[in-house]
Amino acid sequence: MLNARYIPSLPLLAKELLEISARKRTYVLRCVFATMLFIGFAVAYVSASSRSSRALDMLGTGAPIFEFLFVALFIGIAFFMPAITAGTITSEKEQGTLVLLMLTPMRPWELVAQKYLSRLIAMGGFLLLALPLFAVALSLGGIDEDSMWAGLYLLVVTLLQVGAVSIAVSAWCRGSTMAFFLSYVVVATMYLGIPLIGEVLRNSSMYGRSYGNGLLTGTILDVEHWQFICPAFLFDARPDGRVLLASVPAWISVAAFLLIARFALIRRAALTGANPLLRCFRWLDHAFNRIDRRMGRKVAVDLPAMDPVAWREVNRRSLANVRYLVRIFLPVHVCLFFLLVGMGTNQVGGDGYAVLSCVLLSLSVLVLVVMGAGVVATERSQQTLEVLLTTPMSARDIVRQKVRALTRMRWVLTVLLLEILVFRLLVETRSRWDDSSDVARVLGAAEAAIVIPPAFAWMAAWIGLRVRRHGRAVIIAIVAAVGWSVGVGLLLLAPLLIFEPSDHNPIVLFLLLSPVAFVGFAESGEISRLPGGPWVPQLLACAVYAGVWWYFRSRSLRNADDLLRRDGPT
Amino acid sequence: MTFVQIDNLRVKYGKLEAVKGISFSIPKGALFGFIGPNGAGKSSTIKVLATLLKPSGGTASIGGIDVAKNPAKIRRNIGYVPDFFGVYEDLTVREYLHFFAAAYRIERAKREGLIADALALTDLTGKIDAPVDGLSRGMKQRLSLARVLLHDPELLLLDEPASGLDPRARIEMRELLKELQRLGKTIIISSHILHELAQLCTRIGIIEAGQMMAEGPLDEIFQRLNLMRVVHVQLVNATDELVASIKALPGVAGVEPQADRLAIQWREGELAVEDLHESIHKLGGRMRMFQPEALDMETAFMKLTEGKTA
Repeated sequence: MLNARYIPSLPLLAKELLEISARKRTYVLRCVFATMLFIGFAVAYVSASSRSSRALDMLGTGAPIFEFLFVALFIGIAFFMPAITAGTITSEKEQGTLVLLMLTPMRPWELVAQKYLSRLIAMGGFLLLALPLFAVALSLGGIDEDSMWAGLYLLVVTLLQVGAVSIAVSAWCRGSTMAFFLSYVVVATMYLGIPLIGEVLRNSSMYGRSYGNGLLTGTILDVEHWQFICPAFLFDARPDGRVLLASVPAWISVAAFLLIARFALIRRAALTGANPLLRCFRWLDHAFNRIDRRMGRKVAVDLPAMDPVAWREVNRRSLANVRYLVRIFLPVHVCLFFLLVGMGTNQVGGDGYAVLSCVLLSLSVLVLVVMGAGVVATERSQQTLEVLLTTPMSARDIVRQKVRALTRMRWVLTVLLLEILVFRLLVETRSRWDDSSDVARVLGAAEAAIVIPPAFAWMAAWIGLRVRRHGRAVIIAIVAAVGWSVGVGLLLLAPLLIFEPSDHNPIVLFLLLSPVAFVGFAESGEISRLPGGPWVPQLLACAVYAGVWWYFRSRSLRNADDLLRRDGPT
Repeated sequence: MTFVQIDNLRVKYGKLEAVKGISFSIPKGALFGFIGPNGAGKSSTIKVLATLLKPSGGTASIGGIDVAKNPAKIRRNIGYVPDFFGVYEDLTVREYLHFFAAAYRIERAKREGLIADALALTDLTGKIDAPVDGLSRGMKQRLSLARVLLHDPELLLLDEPASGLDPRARIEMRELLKELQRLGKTIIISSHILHELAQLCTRIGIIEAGQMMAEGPLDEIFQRLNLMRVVHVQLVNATDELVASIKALPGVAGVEPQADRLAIQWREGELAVEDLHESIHKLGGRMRMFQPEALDMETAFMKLTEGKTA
């Protein structure tokens, strides 16, 4: 038996693990994760077995199943790890307990390490669910030992990396909402943004239009190295045993993010006030007002007229004020414009635009889901809701005004998405624009950009109305969004693969219930090949998503009184 | 004239019955102190009156209007200050008050004047452009009071308004409440600081485990409990004989000699305080000080409650 004095004292880790195990949402998340993983596995298995008529023919088909598991777990870590980690330090800040922890003899490194370790253990528990599936894949054969170990090693590196990003963001941010959002943005930038920019640069003159003869080719700035930040891309490096060496940038990023977490923990422990961008904009406003006063111009006082809640949401809580939106989105538009021009002149093609649209749509949905879930939850966590509810404003009116900033933000993001679409239209019109399927494809993409974000936004707002705590509301909304986007698609794909209906069978149209499938069909133009295509699937999808939008909107507004006064007696 | 009427009010949270059929009434213009230990049901009762909770049973009415049936009407006539500040830290004082002026649908032309009046009353005029998150606790609490005065409600519901305030801020709050009472507001205030309520309230209600233990004017409760009162007397000629004579007065329960005074305990029902003064004078006592102690609410509270919670 180990002597107790050799066991390090890890009180924070013990407390965190106890809390995680006592939370209902841990088990809900684990069930959602397991359901999606097992359904995905079933789909991959059926897909592999459909090619073989005899049981023995299945032998050697383990490789695609293993690769599916690798990708599924990679995506699972990227989605679930920020959800369980991003709030870990911000929640202490919000409850005012971080300062108390810092007064204990525990050093900042120990605090970060114990928080980090607790989330790694929790997510490790999720990953253990895949072990029996790996065993099935291995028993089918076709996987060499190198691939197996490389895959598992890279999943561990991914886990450490996403965890480090989330813990650093959590130490940096003041509130959980911002931490959740920023974690996903950093992970998306690392795993999608950098490779996409690398792909654009790969075709640019710096690297030679046909990659391999440019100025930076072969140097440390070679785009070949860019993808090494993302462990998933290293899977291809396994045959010649370069995985360990190639993963060095990923390890460096883990160390860098943990360092950021360590320093941010102290320096940003007692943050107050609005977010830095908002503070910066307000400072600018004051500066402009001072200049106006000195020049004898009348300075307009910005005070609420008749919709005070909407006024505060738009002008004080978020960046949804017209002036601020212009300040933020003008540079974003300029960057996007240059990226689109770069993609157009480098003939990246329709797929590049589709990827960009999907990334932007995913980010837009994420922004709206996080904002939507916090619409009322922040009011609850700051204990201001009760005061608001004793005013003569109806609960419906309060909710309606609360989502005003969300609506503005949604339209701004939709305009960005439509901008990509218009560019794509202009570029493709030059090369090919021959049949009605192109029109349908463009309309499908536009439809996705217009109807999907509000459906998600209102779903998140409805969840935020029902769930009391802010952090929990955000996590549930994210899980619901992922479940709807990916889970529904997998659930529908499984029977389709098992029963293999013909392409013209209307049952295939059920796939449109999954936003991911709908966006995929719309962006790729496959929507034209669906039964009744291209117009019937378009109308059907439009009706479904508009219906979801209307359903959550009407539920939120109609039941606003009950939802806001949830602490009412029974 | 009864302004607030509560009859057999019940509030349940799942299986827990926080308020178990309490009844009381408050006349217009009264300052009603609601006393009880944590979890006694004070906040639940105040939340019912503030239209934040629907009662599980019984009725509550304000100015003859049923709270559960006409919450919208009630909200125009009440001002609620919760036990936490509930202020928007991202606004300035001016913006915060304009926010609630708009929420109460006050005409824009009238807002500036009303805000100036509310700030003057709460002594926050100089802070009009200060950010709310930079105010002290006492100032935030006064700002909350300024907020509830904007729409000139007849009833103020104050849930633990003095909690967490320093002595100066508590005294300022007390003076402010007295001023509001002078302006004709009916005020319901819950607090743990008993002697402050004794100085302030015209009526009190002592609640424990969801049941009303005693309710009415403080004097009545003391008489009902047969509690003794204390008067501090400084005598120039405090001889043993004189002390013994005072002890023998009808209604006097005891005399405790202290460093520079005598603490005389007497039953108010048997001997009025002015009669006690006159009797000591008649006995030849030359008084330098005659100071009746404020009603001892702590004694009443301890006698009526057992420390139970709902």
